[in-house]
Amino acid sequence: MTKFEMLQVEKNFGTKTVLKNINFECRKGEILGIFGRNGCGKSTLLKIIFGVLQYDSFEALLDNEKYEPCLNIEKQQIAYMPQHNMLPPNMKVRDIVSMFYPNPYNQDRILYNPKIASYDSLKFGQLSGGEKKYFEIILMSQLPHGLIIFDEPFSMLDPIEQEWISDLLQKLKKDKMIIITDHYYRNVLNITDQNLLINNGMSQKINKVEELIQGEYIKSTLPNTRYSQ
Amino acid sequence: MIFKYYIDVTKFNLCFSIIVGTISPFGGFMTFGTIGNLIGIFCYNMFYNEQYYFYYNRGINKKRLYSVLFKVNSPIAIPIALFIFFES
Repeated sequence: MTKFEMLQVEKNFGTKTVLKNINFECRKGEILGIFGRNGCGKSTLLKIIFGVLQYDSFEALLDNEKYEPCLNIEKQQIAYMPQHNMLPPNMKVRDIVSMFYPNPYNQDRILYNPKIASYDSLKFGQLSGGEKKYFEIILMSQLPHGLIIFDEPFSMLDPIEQEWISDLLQKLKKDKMIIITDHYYRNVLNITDQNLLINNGMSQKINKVEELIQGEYIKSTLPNTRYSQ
Repeated sequence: MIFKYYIDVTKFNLCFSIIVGTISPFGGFMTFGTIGNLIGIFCYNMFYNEQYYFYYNRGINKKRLYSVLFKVNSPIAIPIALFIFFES
């Protein structure tokens, strides 16, 4: 899989239109960042793409062929890492790996990671927030899916843990398409190749950080990002 | 992997079915094979909803997860319930 094109999507909750004119394109080797205020429909959009939320209308192409969200889980085309931890807290890390990947090759690739190896005998629930996210991303990285969606991967992590995740995502993009959404916009802007702002149900391409200000997502320009002047 | 889901949901089912079973053994087994599965799913959705993504990302949808519960529990529990009913 090398290209995902979102042509249009519409989603209404009762009389309220949450998404109405969203379009973007993501290619292999790219990270697409999606920004937007709380309640603007970011997670709704991602869940629609993943295939776990109903939509009013939807049109997307995956490698120039029609993409059907309702068939995604079975076909394993697009993976989704939710904001909250998705792994069972009462299972040991190494047991989760062997359950998730029966294939020893995949297991070794995860368990030989030095960070994972240092806590593979612990239960998932005993790990720190950063260790949990890191482990989940490493686990996701071995999936066959061509596109992986990360919903708020930097949320509630300390600065060093955020750096781990940034490095990991940048390595991962070599083989995959990545869509990421997070309010830690400095981290997102530093690793993304293109960005999108969702406002009033519509998407707007972001080329400069000033456009995030104009879109009323942030108030002032930020230092120390690739997008700052 | 699906077995993990089966165990997690069946724990809830079993708790409810045992309570019903103390009143009526027939009702306990019948519950375990039928409505207990639905109660188990409801409780799982309440407490572990995010863990569905664990299964989704491995290509297992809700339909497959639910069907395992009924395919395993119903053929065991319903015949036992009927046996108790006709014997009593």
